[in-house]
Amino acid sequence: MSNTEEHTGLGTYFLVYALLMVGLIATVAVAYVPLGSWNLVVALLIAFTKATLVVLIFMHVLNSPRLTWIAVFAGLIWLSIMLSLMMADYATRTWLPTRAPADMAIPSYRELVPLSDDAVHAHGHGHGEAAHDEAASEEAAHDNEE
Amino acid sequence: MTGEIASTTALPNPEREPKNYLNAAWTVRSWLLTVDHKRIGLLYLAGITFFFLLGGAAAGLFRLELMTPQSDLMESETYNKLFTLHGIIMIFFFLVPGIPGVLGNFLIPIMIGARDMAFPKLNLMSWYLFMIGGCFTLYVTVAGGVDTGWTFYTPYSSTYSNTYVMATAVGIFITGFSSILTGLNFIVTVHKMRCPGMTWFRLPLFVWANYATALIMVLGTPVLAITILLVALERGLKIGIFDPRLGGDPVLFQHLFWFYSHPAVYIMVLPAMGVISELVAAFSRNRIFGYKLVAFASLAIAVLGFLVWGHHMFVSGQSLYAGMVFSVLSMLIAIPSAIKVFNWTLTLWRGEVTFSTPMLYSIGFLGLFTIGGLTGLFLATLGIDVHVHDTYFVVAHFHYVMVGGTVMAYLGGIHYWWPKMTGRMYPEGWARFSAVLVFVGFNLTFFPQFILGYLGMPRRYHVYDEGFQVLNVMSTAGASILGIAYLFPITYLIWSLKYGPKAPANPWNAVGLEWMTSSPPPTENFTETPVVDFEAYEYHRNAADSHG
Amino acid sequence: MSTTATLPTHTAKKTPVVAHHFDDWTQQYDACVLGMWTFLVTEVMFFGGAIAVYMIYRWQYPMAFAYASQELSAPLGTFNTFILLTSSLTVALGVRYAHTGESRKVGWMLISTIVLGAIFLGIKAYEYYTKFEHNLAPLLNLPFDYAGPDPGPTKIFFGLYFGMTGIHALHMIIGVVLMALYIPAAFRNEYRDGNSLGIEIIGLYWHFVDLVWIFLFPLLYLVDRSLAAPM
Repeated sequence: MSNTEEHTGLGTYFLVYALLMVGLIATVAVAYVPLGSWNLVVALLIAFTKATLVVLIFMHVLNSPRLTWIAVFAGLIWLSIMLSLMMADYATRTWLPTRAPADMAIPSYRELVPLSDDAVHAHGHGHGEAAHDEAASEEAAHDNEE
Repeated sequence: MTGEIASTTALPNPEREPKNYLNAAWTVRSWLLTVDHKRIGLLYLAGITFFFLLGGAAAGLFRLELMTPQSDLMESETYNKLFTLHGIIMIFFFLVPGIPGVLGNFLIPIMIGARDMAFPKLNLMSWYLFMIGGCFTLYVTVAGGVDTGWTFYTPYSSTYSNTYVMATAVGIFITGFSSILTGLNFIVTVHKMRCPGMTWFRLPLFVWANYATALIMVLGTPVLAITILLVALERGLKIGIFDPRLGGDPVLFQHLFWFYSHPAVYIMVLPAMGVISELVAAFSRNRIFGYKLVAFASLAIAVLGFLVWGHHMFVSGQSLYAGMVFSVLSMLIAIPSAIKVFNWTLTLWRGEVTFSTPMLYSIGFLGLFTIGGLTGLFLATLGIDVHVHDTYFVVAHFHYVMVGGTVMAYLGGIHYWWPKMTGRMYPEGWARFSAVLVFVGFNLTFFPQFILGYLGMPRRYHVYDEGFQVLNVMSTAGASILGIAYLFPITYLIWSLKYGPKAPANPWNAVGLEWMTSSPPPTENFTETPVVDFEAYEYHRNAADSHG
Repeated sequence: MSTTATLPTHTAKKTPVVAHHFDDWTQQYDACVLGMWTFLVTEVMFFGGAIAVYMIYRWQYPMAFAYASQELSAPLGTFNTFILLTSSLTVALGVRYAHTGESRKVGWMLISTIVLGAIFLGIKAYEYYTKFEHNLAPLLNLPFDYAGPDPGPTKIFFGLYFGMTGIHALHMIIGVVLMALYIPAAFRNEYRDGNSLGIEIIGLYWHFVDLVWIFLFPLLYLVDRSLAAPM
């Protein structure tokens, strides 16, 4: 991987740059297409594709020794450990123990952890909207689409 | 601490001694701008000893206060500041940089046959960052203290505490970078600087352990940095990141904090395990039983250590299901830890065991770390943790690991490599006496705390129920013994710098590259680059049945 | 990395000067590159912590984040992304010219990168300024005028916006300063022998800063634009 390595051609760099531009336009364009929760997925997929191009070509990982690959994957894996175990807590906080009565209403996150009054004291409207669970936000979203 | 450096430099007689790293130059500048890993190791030794004494003094004071159930020696606020100071100094300025900074810096390049760390200037910068962070902490101590506990839980730290949270946060942030740079240096050094023939499985286990530690430093510490930065932004710029009044979640802070701070426990104990591997092998004259298992157990602990942080948050409002996952994962850590303990024990088996001072510390480590580790399993169990959470049981548990484990190993290591570092022998009789005294004092201090915790005495309380007094008096008595026992090595080790007998190159008749160079080593470590054609811990190399 | 700064800056020898503790140039080169990659891993975890906070809050307050994101200027964000991606290209070309020994071209590429970086920072500063103008900066107890629902989580969004882009901008400023330090050497024709190590290291750093922005841009500027667009 020393200096004697063959140089990546100029054309490759411009090709990657063009692809990055395509990715940029795609991200912005897709953001305005209503895909629901898929918007985030698509945005992240495009971002990962762009990142992969930069890492592999611009940062020369493609022609690098195994150790560099290990470093890249160590970063990715540890980041995903942090994100996934943290999310494991938040995603399951509202689950009830299995032995709860069947007719018990499942509380929303906001009912379990209500916003204090201070949270909505700021300027503008918004009073009385303290308990703003996800269902309500979905409705608000649909209202706004009209 | 400058006194200690000065006495070290003033020691060898220049006209008679051959050139070594100590007598190579005499100026203060040659110490403060040195890029020699050995000198940087000694700089760390000076700094760390200072902080150890400071943190110990804080502990002594509040232990004295706890002798009686009432508040008589100090106000509650002072008490809070003292235990916070003790925690912050001992964790961030003694345990985390301790063994890697002193022994790791000094030994790793020698053990792998290199002339220096991969990035010597960065290494020096690590020490300066450590000291600058330390200065912030000293400033906080003098200016009026901080009372959040070393864990900085929000929203108390970000909103309500009126003490010097910002300065402390800055200090820890800076010291964190010292830790990151040390880790980075270790990783690159072990990968790229090994001498010819030094394959991965010929590395001493001390190097393996420090490599695993470096991985945690590099992967974990940045998360602490960003967490502290967010708290500082919240406190300083009033950006509400964890503020429950805005809908922020203080438990999220705990997630981020423990993502670093649980693996940090392994930053503290893994290098200690590395030291123990060296000591046990040298003083039972045996190859470490199951070398590869011990080496991989270090890596396994480093990796698994990142999957268990939620066991600090079982009663914080964390999801029950996440708690169950974290509980199970926490128990997995017991496997590699137990592998190590069993393998050290099996190394003693049929060995020619000599009970020199380093070995006494090792034996102490084995017993105390086992108790600390097994009580850790109690705490990892969801149901039991609800009962003993935030009680003295937890305090006793982690002191068995941190003091009974790390400090014992640190002292054992300092004694073992003292002849190599300074070229002088320490007085064996005194050293054995204080090793035993440390063990007795330690157990008297912390064993009663297990019982206190199980009976329900909460940690961090200033006044307590009168029924707890007997056990608390025992604990304070033990702490007094422990405090005195720690002063012995400091005294006789400094004494030995001038009056100790000259050390031969290999006083323990041990194997390893560090014993194949002179004591103290020359600046470039070896007169010529060594070529390794032997395995680690070949204590029976010259025996008839071996491939001599 | 400290050694890289003092690499081949004075002589025009074919092989660069090897620091005293390395055996040969390959060892030094590999060590420096591995060191930089290790550093970048720490940077991933550093920004990762902020991303984790963002993830949790976006999951808890999806609509608040969607509305708050509307307050950021998508055109300016897009243009800035374009600028930063272009600067990544110029750095990559700079590294290549350092490989091939075209030292002066390295200098020009560094200058272009610095100019592009400055444009990015200028636009960023303007965006910050407009946020302060419109009372959307929840710092230092400044007034916060936000007409949408959920002002609390909205404050958190803007807190994260300022925090994350601020740390990113700080990294860019560091990168610009470091790159400026390499320009004189480039115009003294010191990369004519292909001793590209220093440029490669700074290039890796700059690409990483670019990578962070590739994620920050959709995460901050383009949150559910389709849902909340016609406010």
